[in-house]
Amino acid sequence: MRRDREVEPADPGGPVGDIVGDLRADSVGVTRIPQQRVEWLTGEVERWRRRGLIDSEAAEAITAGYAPTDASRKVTATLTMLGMALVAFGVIWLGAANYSDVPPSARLAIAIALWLGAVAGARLAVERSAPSWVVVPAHACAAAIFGGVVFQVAQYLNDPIQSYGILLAWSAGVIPYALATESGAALLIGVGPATAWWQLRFTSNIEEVVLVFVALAAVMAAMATFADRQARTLARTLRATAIASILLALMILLSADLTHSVELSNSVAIWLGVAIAALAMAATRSSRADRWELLGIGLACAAAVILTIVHPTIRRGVTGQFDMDDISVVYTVAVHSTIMAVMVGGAIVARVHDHAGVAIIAVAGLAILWFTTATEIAGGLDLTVAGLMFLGSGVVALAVGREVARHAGLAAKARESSS
Amino acid sequence: MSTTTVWRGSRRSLAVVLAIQVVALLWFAYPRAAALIGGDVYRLRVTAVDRVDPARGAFVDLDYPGLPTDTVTRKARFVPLLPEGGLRVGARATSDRPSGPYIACHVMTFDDSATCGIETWFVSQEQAPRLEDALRSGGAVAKIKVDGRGHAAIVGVERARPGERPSGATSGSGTSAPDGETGPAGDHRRAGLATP
Repeated sequence: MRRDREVEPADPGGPVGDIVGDLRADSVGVTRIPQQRVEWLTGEVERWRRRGLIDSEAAEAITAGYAPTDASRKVTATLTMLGMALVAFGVIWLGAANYSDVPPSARLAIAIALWLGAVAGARLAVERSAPSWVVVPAHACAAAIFGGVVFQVAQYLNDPIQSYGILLAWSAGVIPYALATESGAALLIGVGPATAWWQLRFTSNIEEVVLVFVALAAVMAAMATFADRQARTLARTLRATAIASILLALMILLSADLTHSVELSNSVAIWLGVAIAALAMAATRSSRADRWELLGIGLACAAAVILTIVHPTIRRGVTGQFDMDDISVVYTVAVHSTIMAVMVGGAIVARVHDHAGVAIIAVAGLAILWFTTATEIAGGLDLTVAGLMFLGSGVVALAVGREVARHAGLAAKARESSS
Repeated sequence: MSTTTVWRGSRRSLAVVLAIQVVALLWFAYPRAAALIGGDVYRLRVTAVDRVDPARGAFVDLDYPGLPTDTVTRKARFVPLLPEGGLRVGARATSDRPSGPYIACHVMTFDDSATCGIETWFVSQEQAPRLEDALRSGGAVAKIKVDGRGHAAIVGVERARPGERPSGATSGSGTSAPDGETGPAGDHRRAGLATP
């Protein structure tokens, strides 16, 4: 009996990619890949045989090694996930229904028990070689429930709800857990409150908020190159977070009222310094390809910092309507162009790292950009300029979309749509 | 399973991570716990903040008319507690720790408001609106505990006793003797106007 090979997911996208990858792996028989890929491979092998590159025996041997993903396993996995989700929903529902009747000390005890249970459960799942669609949610639960423990402590001690210590304690506990377990989902759960804490604690105007996101992008990109070697799941999450952060920063620049003069607080300046140091350290220890990636994110971050510093003082008129002068037009076009450059960079990163998640973020960023700024841009700019901008955006979007489609093994459909 | 998600650490690394998480919890709990365990009880006039929040939580936002939190800055963050009318009121915030009882407050960067650690009282969702109404009608007092470093924690909300009628914030000086009993942390669950 043949042993199946365990395949690396061809288009992993974080947790979802892990789930897909796991569905493809089979314990006995052949390597499981999607039906579409089987058809493509069969066609290609037949073409090679006809061209004389391989003989019939080799062609048969190659195609015999692959088979479509077993639909029954998908059904089993889907039902299991559905069952787990329903159980979790039931527990939450029961907890919510009886929450008021449980004394605070009992709530705290229950939260601590759930937290320790979730950590032990995640550990057990890994030790038992559970599939990633069990391991990933288990780590995410452990990270989320730790936040619940912090909140219960806050409630037990009547800590002010306005204080942001709850965010710091949550992230301070979850980020080490995420790094130790190499869990991208847990890392996202930890980075969220950490970023919120930083923004609430140290930033006093929108410009500093932008700079914190820029620095976060740089640090995440630097960490991704380190994580590439040993923790690929983590690297994917870090890379996607980096692209999302820089896009978010640029979109804030494009859509928010920027009326403050930039006076960097010490903490934000230090954070930017850490970001530069992280990029430099990563560049010295990474491969040539990674250096290009770091250079790209570094340039995007530098552009965002410059755009934050040189933004026009007032971009809205007294009535609140967009009332842009020539400088504002140039500024808006510059920010828009930078966003487009980041999205193109994201598409390249997606291709290099076989990471559809990054490309999806890039395309989603474009969609958000259109929906949030189209009206203002169209109302404030010369119509010809606005038209050219949308035309350029559309061309880039089509290119990115085609890249994503090709990346996902849908080249044939992409060719059809473009023709 | 996919080879991309593995626990590379040993059981020891799990223990280290759990230890970090426990330290994070202890760090977070310390200011309030220190006040509850080693603090003295003081009584302050209290009202409810009038919140516009359709999705209100199971808590009440408290306001202390006798605490001049508007004088708290990044440097001047220690609010002395002075006796007046049978209760305590706050004097202007200072940058040096006062010799008598005081609360250490800090300014929150995002909206420049000050927090002293006693602005929230958790009660059930059903009790919260009733407690807010009761507090706004006046005559309520918050029992707080304050330790020697200015850490404060609220331990109860109750009706003012006869004779407890402070006029508001003051700039005078007074005694450092506490206003009430000094008890263990568990005391704060005793009923006042409402019990969480």
